Amino acid sequence: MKPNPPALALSTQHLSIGYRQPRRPPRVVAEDIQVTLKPGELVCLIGPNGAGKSTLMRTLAGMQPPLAGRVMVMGEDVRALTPREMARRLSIVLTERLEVGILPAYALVALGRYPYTDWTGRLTPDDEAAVRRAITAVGADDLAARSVDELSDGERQKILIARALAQEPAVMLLDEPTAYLDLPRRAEIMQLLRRLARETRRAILLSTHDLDLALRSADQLWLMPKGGRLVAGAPEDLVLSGALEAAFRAEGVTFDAYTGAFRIPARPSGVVSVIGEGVPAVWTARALEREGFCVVQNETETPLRVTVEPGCWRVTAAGQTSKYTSLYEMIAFFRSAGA
Amino acid sequence: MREADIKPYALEQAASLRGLHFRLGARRLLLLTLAVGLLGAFLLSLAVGSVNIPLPEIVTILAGGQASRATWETIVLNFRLPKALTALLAGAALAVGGLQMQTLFRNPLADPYVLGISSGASLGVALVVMSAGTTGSVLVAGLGLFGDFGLAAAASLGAAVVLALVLAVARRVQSVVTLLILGLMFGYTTGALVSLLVYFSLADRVQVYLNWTFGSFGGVTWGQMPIFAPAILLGLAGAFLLIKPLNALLLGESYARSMGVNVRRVRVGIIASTALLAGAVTAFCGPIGFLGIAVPHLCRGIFGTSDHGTLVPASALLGGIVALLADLAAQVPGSQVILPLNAVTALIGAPVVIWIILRRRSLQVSFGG
Repeated sequence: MKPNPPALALSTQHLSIGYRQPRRPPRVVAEDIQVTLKPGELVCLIGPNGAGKSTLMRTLAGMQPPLAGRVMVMGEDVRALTPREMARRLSIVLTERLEVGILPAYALVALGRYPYTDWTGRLTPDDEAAVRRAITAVGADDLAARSVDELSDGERQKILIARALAQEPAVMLLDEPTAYLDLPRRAEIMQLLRRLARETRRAILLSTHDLDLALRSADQLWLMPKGGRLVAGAPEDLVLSGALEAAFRAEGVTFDAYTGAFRIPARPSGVVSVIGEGVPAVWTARALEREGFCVVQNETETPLRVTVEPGCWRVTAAGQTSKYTSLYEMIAFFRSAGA
Repeated sequence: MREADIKPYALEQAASLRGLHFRLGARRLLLLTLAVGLLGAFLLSLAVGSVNIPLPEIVTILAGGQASRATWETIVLNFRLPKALTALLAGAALAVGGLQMQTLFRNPLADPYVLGISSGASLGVALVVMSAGTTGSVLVAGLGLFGDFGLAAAASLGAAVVLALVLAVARRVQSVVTLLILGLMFGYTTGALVSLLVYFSLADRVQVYLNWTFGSFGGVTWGQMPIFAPAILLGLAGAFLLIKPLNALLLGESYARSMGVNVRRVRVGIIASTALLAGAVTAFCGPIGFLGIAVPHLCRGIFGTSDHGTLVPASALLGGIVALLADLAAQVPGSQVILPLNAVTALIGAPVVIWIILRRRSLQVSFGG
């Protein structure tokens, strides 16, 4: 630790974001935002579509002026910084798919040195070293000589993160960096960003729709409900305070604080008791919940019971018992019985 | 990690970076080849024509010596040399202008004229040529003061008016697409005005205007060269100064801005440079098509890169070569026939570009189109 660690990488003061419109009052997307980013922190910005995540990201990046309040990067007002000074403090990775033509990945990462090079854009040995460091940090050494247009989505995302890293900023903003990726690649990128935040002492803010991954990886969640106030805190804080559930309830998604998972609620179909233990019982309960049942554990008095046995399920309904060899068959029975 | 784990990895990395540096070296060699090719094309265009002059004689004449025939000196110094210089400069100008527009608009179909510069020039020329002998003759009389600058002056004026409009807009608008559409609309508007002029003009006046639209490198005299050459060189210098921001714009304006590029200032710089290049060429040679759109693609294909550090010099060199060769072909060597330059550039160039595109994936991947 340094003797005087820089307290905040980024902070906002009474920030209002939105759009100014000619001859009309400005359209306010969110008001009075007070958030902070510390060095070494990975923060996920989550919220339903249309809540203003992108607007907030653009405002923080200085690409759009705030309606009121201030954005401070390394203790300085964004509006007081020249574009070059700003570029040395903050870098971005956008969600748009990039078409750069025929350019080796190395050259793309090297563009991140833009705010450091002279007017010719020539790389000094220091710049070259920074580019190589960035490529190694994201684990893309084997991609460096390949052309960007030949890379897969995941590889390209790594190279774009390396480019943002080569800018050597205090803050990195990533707009939905996992949007085009499959599940393993999403987890990999999230893991990578978390490691980069820790190892390089940078503050990393990313917006995402991946609630599960965000809950598991973020040091801090910024929760942006539609039309409401931005709430910040550790993911667990937001779960315990009910803020997470409240933000997504309006979207037709419920959050189960026990399992930490989001669920799409179905029409309630009644109470069913699952009798059994261990993993089979858990997944049986899930299948029933998906069908809209309220599941209770090991109750023998309910009229509807499912007994989990090795390799089969025994359903007792109104004194009658039937047997199924898969959950699929069992669910089909419930569906036909319910109809 | 143990050392044994690291070693092969590091070696592989070093090899891949060596590959990069090798490619850079190969690029320099290719650029050198283009420069030599340009010199060859230049000498060839001095030697070949209705009269063929041996190369050693050309060198003697250029060095200030006595040629074995006095008429050869006149032909080379007064006709072929200014023409070859014009072709070289115009070709370089159009190719570099096209490259800048393709990058600025992130559009593989952009050419130096997308901003409506040549349309403005056309309107200027059409006004001068076709209003002669009508009520607008005062204007012609005024321009007549420029002597042989008449057409060039009219075209410059037209191009400058459109440029001023585009620049004024470029400072205000957010999106570069808006700019593209406005350029197109300027083009249509001036085109409509030209059509009206053509419709109400005498046939021989229309023919004069048509001849101008065919394009020619032969119209620039030694007297005009002190204006034409510096204008082109200034525009080219601008493009070289803009190499770094042009590369940043490969990632799009948002990324460019986030890397510290003053996007509006750079946009104005790119437009000013291109307008100067395209405006000067149109004013002195007519609206020469095709070169500006094709040469940058050829360069991407040949050099296998989108890096402007390579593409700007390469486009300038290859543009010069293509213009010189097109001019040679237009004269139909060994005959007295002279074909319209614009027809030649497209007739010879289009198949070449199609061939290159089908062979290489340069165009598709240049812009993801």
